[in-house]
Amino acid sequence: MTASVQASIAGVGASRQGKLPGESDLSLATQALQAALDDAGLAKDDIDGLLTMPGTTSPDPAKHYLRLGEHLGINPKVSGSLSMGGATAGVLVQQAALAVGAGMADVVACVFGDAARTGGSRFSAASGSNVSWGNWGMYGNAANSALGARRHMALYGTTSEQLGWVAVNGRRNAARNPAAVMREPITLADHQASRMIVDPLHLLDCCLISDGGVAVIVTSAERAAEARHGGVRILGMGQGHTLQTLERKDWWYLPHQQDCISRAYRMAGLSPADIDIAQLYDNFTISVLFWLEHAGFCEPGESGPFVEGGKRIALDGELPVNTAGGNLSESYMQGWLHIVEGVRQLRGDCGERQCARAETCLVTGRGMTLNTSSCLILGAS
Amino acid sequence: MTAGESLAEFAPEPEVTELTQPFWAGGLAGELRLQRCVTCGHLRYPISTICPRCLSSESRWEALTGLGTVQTYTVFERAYHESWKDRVPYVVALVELDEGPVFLTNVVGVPPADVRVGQRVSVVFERRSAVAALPQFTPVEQAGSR
Repeated sequence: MTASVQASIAGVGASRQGKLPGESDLSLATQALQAALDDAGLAKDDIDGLLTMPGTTSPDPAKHYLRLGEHLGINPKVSGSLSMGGATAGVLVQQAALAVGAGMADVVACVFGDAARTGGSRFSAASGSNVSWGNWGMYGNAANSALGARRHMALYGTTSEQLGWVAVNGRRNAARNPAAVMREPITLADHQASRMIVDPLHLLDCCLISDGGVAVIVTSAERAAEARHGGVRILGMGQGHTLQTLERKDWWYLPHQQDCISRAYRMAGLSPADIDIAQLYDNFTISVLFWLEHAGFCEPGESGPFVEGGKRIALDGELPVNTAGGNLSESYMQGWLHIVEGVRQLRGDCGERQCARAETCLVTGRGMTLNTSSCLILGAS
Repeated sequence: MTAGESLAEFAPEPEVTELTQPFWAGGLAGELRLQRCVTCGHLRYPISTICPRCLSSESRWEALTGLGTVQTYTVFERAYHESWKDRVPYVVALVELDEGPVFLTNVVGVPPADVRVGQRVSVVFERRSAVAALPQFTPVEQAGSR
């Protein structure tokens, strides 16, 4: 059976990003949606699908769609909220594409807003079911990734300096992104000198915590072609989840990510060599290394040397990675801005950070206790 | 803490429930106990009311050897909660038990710099309350066993 996606992205938008006192998840989501509608050349009343991701500070998150729909005055044919951490953005766009493909809705807005920075979110919860990992002092998202980083280092000789190149690359790209939160250039020495958070991860291995909102508007390929800036096609979609955590011996390596991307390649009829640009979910630098292996850009264990020196993943490299700065330097919108940047690169909208080859872009996301993953393969129209 | 996180998650004293009581009491008795499915024989962790392999609710608690190998680890250089303030730096590790399950735990008794991936470790227990002792691990040489 050949799968195909009958949907495109007609517009993307974001609010201001950073530390934004006085804003709320709703106000930021609203600003983002208005920007996305403007980008698409559509009006609020064109929206007949509303899919949302609650922010870390949103009250009653399972009913976030209801709160946002009432706030925006939208009574859609299709709606709902989803919390899968950094995989959510991709999964919601997939659900939107499926709804459009099935004729259940014509214009689906996928929306996120979060006042995480001013709201004091620390992403420091303990995982564990029935027996909390907090009993062993295992708190926060960074430690999960630190476990993977340590084993990758032990098995393959991956170094902290190699992780540092991911951070340097993100900041270098953010410096060319006027909307990015962190634009001061950093060096590998800065990375090495930054304080240790959870060994082997330094402060500059870690993403930001940000206030902001992002929206992505999905519609039919035909309708998207008439959008103000043209549409960007969704060529492939994938998901993969290791929901068991400790019951899976290889949980630390996140094998579901490889499954996720393989499924999208198969749907798109593409292989790693066909991908021009990659927006890889970077809650921590080690995540980018895992993605590079899981997406087949290098062999397992070879991602350290792949990023070393930062040339290959630079804007003019063989595989530009996180061209807007990513979660590490642009803003921590839990992967939503990775989709936005993918769309903008494929439309040629990126100014001084525009990549020369921009026909295809892989966008990945992953969340929870490293359990969930989603990806999109986007194509220029 | 963010919205939705409860204080209990940060408490150093384990929350003992009817389901988890044999695990915590095992610690007080000097035994690492996990559940084995009576129906399919699967030794499971995390603790659960059912077997994740066959969904059977029949299980029995089994004392393990307490031996394992460090799969990976991280060193907490700063405390995420003040009850851990005096313990930093401390090691959190994934230990692959000889019987199969992967166990999230601490490696104690040696400086963090002496912990290694692939290191053989054996269980020790830290008494946390009158009804619970926490299974932790220490390098086999240091433990003096074997």
